[in-house]
Amino acid sequence: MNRLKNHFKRFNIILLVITIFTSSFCLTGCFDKNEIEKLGFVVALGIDLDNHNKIIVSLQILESSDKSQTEKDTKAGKSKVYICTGNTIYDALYNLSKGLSIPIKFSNEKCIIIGKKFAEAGIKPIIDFSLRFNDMRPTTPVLVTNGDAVDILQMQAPENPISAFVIHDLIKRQKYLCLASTTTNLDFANNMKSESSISTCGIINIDKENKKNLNNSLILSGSAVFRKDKLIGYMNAEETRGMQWIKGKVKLGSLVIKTRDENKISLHIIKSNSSLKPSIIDKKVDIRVNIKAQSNIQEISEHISEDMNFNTNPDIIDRLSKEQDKAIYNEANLAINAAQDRLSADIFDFGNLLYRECPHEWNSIKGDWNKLFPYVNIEIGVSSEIKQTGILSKPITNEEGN
Amino acid sequence: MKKKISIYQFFVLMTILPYGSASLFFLAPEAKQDAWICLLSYSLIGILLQIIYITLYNKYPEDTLVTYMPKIYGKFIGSILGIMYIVYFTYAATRVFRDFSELISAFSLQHTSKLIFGMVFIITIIYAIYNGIENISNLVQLCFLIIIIIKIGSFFLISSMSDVVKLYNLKPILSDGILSVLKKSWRLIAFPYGETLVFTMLYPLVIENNKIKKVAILSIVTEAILLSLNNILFISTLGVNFATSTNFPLLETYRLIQISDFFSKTDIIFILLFLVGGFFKICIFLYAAVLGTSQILNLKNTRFLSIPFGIIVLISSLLIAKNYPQHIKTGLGYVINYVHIPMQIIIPIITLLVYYIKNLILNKNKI
Amino acid sequence: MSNFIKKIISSVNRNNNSENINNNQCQKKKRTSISKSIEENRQYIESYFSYCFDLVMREISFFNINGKKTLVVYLEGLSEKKLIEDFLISKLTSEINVNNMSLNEEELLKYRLGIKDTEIYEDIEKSIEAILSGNPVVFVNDLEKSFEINLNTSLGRQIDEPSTEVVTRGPREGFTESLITNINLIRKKIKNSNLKMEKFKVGKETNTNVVISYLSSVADKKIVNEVKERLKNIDIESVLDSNYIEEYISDAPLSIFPLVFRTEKPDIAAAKILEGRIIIIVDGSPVVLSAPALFVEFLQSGEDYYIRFSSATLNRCIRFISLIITITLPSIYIALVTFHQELIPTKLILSVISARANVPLPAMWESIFMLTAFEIMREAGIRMPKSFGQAISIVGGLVLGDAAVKAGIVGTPMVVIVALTAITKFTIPSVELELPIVYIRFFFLLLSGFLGLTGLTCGILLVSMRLVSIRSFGVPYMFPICPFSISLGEDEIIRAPMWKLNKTQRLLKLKNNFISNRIHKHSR
Repeated sequence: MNRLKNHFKRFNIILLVITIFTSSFCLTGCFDKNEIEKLGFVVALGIDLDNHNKIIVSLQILESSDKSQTEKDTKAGKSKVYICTGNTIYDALYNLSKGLSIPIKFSNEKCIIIGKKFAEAGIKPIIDFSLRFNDMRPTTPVLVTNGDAVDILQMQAPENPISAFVIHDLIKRQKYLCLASTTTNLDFANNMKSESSISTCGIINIDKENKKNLNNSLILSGSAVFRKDKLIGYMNAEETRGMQWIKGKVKLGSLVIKTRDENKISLHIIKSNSSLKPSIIDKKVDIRVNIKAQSNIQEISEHISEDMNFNTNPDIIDRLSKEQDKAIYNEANLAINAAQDRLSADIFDFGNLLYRECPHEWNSIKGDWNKLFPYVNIEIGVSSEIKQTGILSKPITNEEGN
Repeated sequence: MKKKISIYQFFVLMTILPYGSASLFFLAPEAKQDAWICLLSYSLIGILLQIIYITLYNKYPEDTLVTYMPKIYGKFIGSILGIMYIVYFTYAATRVFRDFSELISAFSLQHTSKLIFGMVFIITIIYAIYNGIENISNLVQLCFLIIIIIKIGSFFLISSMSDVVKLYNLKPILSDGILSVLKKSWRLIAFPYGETLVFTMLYPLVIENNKIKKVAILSIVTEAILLSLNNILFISTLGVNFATSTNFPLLETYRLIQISDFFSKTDIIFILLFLVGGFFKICIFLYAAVLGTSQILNLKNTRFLSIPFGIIVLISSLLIAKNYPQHIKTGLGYVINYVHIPMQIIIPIITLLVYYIKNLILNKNKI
Repeated sequence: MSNFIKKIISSVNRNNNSENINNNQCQKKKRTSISKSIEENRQYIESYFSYCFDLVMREISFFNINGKKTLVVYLEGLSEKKLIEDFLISKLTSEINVNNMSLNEEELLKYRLGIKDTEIYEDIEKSIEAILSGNPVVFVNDLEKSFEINLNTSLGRQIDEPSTEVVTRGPREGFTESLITNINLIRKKIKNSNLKMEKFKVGKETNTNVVISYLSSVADKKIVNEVKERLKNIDIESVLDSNYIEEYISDAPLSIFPLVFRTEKPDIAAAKILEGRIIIIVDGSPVVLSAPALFVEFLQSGEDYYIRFSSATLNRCIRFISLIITITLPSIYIALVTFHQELIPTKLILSVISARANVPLPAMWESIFMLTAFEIMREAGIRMPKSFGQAISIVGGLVLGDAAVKAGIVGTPMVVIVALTAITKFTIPSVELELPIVYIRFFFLLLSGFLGLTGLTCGILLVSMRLVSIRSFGVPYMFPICPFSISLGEDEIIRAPMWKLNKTQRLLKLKNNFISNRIHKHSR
């Protein structure tokens, strides 16, 4: 009995303490609590610079469907675009609260789109903001547009009314197809401080050229080149792919080669990688690039006059792969020309490569790298293979071309 | 003293102690991408320190640090040293507590005051110490397994994403030679390796005394390997430049995990794992302080001492630094120079020397 | 200064060491000896059993010896009339050849009726105890002893399958309320002379028989002695069910976790005995207790050993995962929805938002409301008459849930979460663990509603710290999990094949470190 009494005495004290604590917990409330239906989830962020050097921030925020809860609406989802201005990015977001009633959360953000004027002025503010702010991820892709970022966000593509999801899917595809470069804000931060300080990022635009296409859609192609954080030039899709061949990032795609009689064959790329060998002798830089690729034959178009029965003559494949080597070489050359002649920018990040492999020699030429780069000797060697011919073994048209 | 900890639990305790907070920081930023080499090399000095501590322990097998100080130095100086060590352990616990409060504030509970999170956290710690080291070491066995499994899982997740782990970021290796790199990172002796001083309070509680030396060396080696793996991971994914700019590089690495929409943004889980590691670290330090106090004051029932110590830790953790950068500067700057090095290295070495000298004099007197 | 601190600490110590006040001061009972005259005995017994109409006292002749009479006293309902007539009365009235008898009356009675030496009493109190146990007692003229004749029949329920421990394969017998039947059921399983049964009487008013049973070659002597000590120290008025005893002998009676295992099936009880545990059987209760208990036992069911090991291991894994889900799922949902919205995939966010947009309550209160409603339904469902049960479950499930969602009181994701939580709770075989789970679930829910996943982690650390520190009769409560033991984990956590199990150690042949030297009630 006494044992139980003593138990109770101790228990009462503990119970009292716990009650005091828990009541203070539940009654005071907690500032970090946010009910999910009262949050605005940002899916895309757009930054522009206006004429008076003030920053225009546009946000694409997910909207929940209305209360009628019909089947169609709940699946697609809708979005709204909000625009605000301010001296810095966070200041602009703060000004947004005058018009937007809900707190915003960046964790679902799919991309950051930067307008041309802002890119030319220097994108350091957005990179710093997106990495310092706890809510935003270091894996957010950064894109540049030729006009204003607001237009991209306000555009409603036919397949999905939320353009951020469209952009996200486009970026996912181009990661391996490499018609546009895909970089995240973390890569930007690393590149800005690296030895060559050149970064590239993809360009997204609204497709206005195709007049027959009544609904506007977005196009992601080509890349923009930045020195430190300022935009210095552009590359088109072919040059971008050439650059990615050298960096070894092309994993999928198609390549057109010509046969002996100028007929075109399309190849489907399965795999590729590249190895780089630098050397610095007497302040002269030599870089040897070896590109390896594998592909399948995807399409044989137009008339073929020669005998293209692959299964009986496998040597044809060797000939075709030499053509493939030439095609890849040409693309890579395009990129090198653009980098060395037009832009004088080390888009291939050879500076870092030299720092890693030959640190002592690099230290002596570090300061003049920008001037030395156009004269660097870059040799490209390609060895590629064609593995399969698909389901057909020989072309459908017969040998005489009928 | 009553034996309470099995040797395997002791190994786990020794491994998880430095790991708890050392994995949060970039430990030797001057060494840049060769930090992992420094970590591995300084483990040798860590082993040396452990040998010093164990030699001292073997002279007095039933005593903890606080009780053999008076025996070597005499009552007055010895008790003062004992009290200094107790204050030192409490200060170490306070520092780690502040680290974790800052971590949680930065990543998940931004607007909640540190006091409220601190209250909940300190209640768990007080309760753990109230239950005694036996139960803490039982629990740590289980948690260690979970931590290791999730770490290995995270390695797999990160490496399964293409292009994220770029091992070439570790180059150039030792471009200036190993000595210059070692000279720049001498602070590694104190943090993490010197923190194992706290185990001098726990040696008498281990059941299998004879295996302590082997286990201590093994755990320091394991610790070194774990920390350098962490280091290699975040340098190769983030790049040296970015890794030196962030406050918590390992967490940034975990934020890069993005497999599909489902598996992205999982960094909160790793933060909680660190919290568990930190919980055990604070428990061990605070338990050492409580044990020391009860030995100096000759108390029988030590459990209720955990409450005042816990409250002291909570309040002082809010007072020791005005803001986070000041906290880091004191921690990786002044404290190492003026507090850790004397307490962890100089005083034990002097103690050992004094013991030998005393022995020599006594033997001389006998003869 | 140190004196002051010492004073505080020692006063706290004193509260702690409120030692076992010796409760078992044997109250010297008054012992009245049996008188030679039957009349006096008769009057004494009548005064004792006044107003009891079912007391029967008959004077029968002492075999055919003239001048000797016997008084047979019994309680009418407890002994079968036919047995008394056939066995006792007819024997007592039979003829014997007295002439060359050199035996005295006591030996005569003993040898003719086969009475045990322990059933010959010299005082009235013990005879009255024997009458109360249901056995007739015989008093003989001029003899100061009484004789108890063991004719006890066990009345009660038939042996049938217990409703709470249902297995698909394996034995289906269950314990009944009669002590002798229960002991028989165990003896049938373990035919070993080392199987000891010790009897105690507990309860001042009810004088209930309590039997502890253990295998002396396997059980740890310290634990057996501790159990016996605690049983002797029980100071209670009445014992109607084994639960009365369990709350007295349990290590931490105010803890929410059960520290003594209960079962209604003899095969499980026999398995516990073979592992070295001690079984406590209480007369009048079909639930037997088993001490010491470990946490993993509550997650095991007997069925694990009656199906193949691969299926059994899978079942055990499912139960572990269900336990974790049922405790943490509501709190994880609340933490994700209120604090860590970034963990929810984008597509799910849209549906969660649209579901929560109509609900007036904040997420945490919505979940508390739904979980409380579920507990109310569960408690009501136990007492619902079976004829209504089917209809209401259909009505309740489909209509009420759906109607509540459409009316906007709760949201659909919340209904799914609560349903999952409830279903996973029912995978746990042991009934004792159901309510502790509810407590822990609410605790985690409050903490995670307060601080998010960080609060949940602190809650998990608190609860695991508590679980790891409990000792049940000196054995750590989380034994094969927490002081991690691989060889015993084979049996408790996953189920290794039978041929491997036979070689593993018995559970309780532990190293001395795990059983503390002083096992007492406030053991830590």
